[in-house]
Amino acid sequence: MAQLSDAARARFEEFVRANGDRLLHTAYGLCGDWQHAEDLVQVTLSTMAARWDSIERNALGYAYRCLSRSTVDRWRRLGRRPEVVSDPVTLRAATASDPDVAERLSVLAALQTLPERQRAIVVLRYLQDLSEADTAGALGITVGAVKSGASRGLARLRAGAFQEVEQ
Amino acid sequence: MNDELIVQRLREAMAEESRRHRLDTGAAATALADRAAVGPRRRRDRVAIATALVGAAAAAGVYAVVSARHDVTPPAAASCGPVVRGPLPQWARAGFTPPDQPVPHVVSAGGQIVAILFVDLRVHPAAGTNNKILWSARDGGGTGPLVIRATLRGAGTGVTRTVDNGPGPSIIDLPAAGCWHLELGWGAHHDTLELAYAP
Repeated sequence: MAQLSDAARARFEEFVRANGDRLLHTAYGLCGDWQHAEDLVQVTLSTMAARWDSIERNALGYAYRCLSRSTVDRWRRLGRRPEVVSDPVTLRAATASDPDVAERLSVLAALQTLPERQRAIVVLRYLQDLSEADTAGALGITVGAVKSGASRGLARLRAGAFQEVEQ
Repeated sequence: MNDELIVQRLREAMAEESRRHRLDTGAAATALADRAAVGPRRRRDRVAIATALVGAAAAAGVYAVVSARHDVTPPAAASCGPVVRGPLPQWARAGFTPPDQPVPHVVSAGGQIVAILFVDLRVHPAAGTNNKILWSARDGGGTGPLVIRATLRGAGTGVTRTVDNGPGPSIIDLPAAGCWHLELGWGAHHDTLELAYAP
């Protein structure tokens, strides 16, 4: 692995500063747990740092690809989808008396009920505002698969989890 | 509810939830760039990377980059439970790249939880270090805190430590050197293991 030049290192650090929060929030959307999200971002940034010279031109797209694949890889390693752990502090706040917090957590929990592919599509396409083509590129699937996955994902939310949120 | 409204609700919820979580980007950038600059030989050492939350109130994560080959066997470990320096159990490898790299760790007696060690555990940590332990539970941990009741073997001294978010990153400081017997409780689970702390 080639060492990063001072200039490349500075650019990498600038990339992390500019996009770190975005990646963390994307990871949270993918996995539903802040601790796991930090792990996913760390794995992604580590991979990127090692290949920075070759991926710098499309660094954000590469980051989304890494995040998505790392999430799926993690599920496969575990042999199942991990339990979604709510932040106890937030959970306590929700159960205390704040209906806004409770609703927010319910909405985000609904997202976690989607199958992994549909969830990744919804997160990248709608929460990160990627184009259909960029979403397809990040997930290694066709634009058609993005369209159908997005449609099915939203339909699933509309028909299932969001019905419960509304009640 | 139409699709547009669903997306709007998702965006609003995510924006509000995300507002309270920020990446400590300066630390991450520096640490990871340092890793990239390590070079081919150190690269083969399979550098272990793990997230550690520094300080009980740390809202933002900082990233600890440590070598998996560092010596984690403190002097007191001779009579304490063994520190394994091989690959983690399959169920504890999430977040490690490559997954089968050797990582210093201690598996609990019941095999339900593993303590992943990033530094030599010391009563008085060296400047710039903390007693970082990543707890990884076989079942993912569930909700609620991880409660640790630690007893110093041979002395009877007992202390309790709590990891608020359950099995995960932690800093566990104990008051005396020696072999500590830890009773671990999280969710409906209970298990034990031993950790050695050097002075």
